[in-house]
Amino acid sequence: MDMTTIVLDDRRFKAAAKKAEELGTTPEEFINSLIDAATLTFDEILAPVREAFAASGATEEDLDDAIAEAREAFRKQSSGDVKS
Amino acid sequence: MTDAARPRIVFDCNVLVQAASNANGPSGRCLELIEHSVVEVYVSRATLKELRAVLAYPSVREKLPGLDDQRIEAFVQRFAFRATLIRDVPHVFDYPRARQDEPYIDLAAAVEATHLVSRDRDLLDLATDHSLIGKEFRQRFPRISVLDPVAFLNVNSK
Repeated sequence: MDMTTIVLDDRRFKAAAKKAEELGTTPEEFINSLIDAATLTFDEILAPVREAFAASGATEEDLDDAIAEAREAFRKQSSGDVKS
Repeated sequence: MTDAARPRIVFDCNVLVQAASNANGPSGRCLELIEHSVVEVYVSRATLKELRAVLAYPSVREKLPGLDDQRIEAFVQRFAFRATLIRDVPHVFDYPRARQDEPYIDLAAAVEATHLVSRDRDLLDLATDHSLIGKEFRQRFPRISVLDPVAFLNVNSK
């Protein structure tokens, strides 16, 4: 992949680094995702995800089960955050 | 279509995650409506946080093998980019049966949403349930239709 260096002022770099840390990613990945979000459509962003899902043979119901498990874990974590 | 004429929607995160898996299913078609600004979509910090967490959860990642960290972030950012972020959402409705749904109900109430779209039985039951809580919801928020994606698409294709 070709790479290009761009210049960010200190304030923006620190803001991006702080946000990236909150999200558990790097400043580079965070900034790349912002550019993708502003320039790519949902279909373009999600095309590889959809292809892989179709190839996996999983169903909507399989994914619903995984989502329900994830939401329950999120709810427990959030209520723990509130208590702590 | 003017902003005043567009449906004002809150999407449950299960619709958005299903939309990530398939462009042609009902949830994927709802995402198309967002992409083309056919609907006015609202999000809050709480709903975005849950969407990000659910997409990153191991069993969801396992079902969506093409989803990496950067794609999750791009999807969430794209969604936020197409939506209106409501920063302060007052808590107005207790739903002990499904506390995780309260941020969506609160957001729908705050923006006077026309529709709350979900695949979740707990939320969908609010529209039809004969329980006290279901009746209270419909009395307090008579203009919010709680629909699944198929019903929502049917209403909006007329």
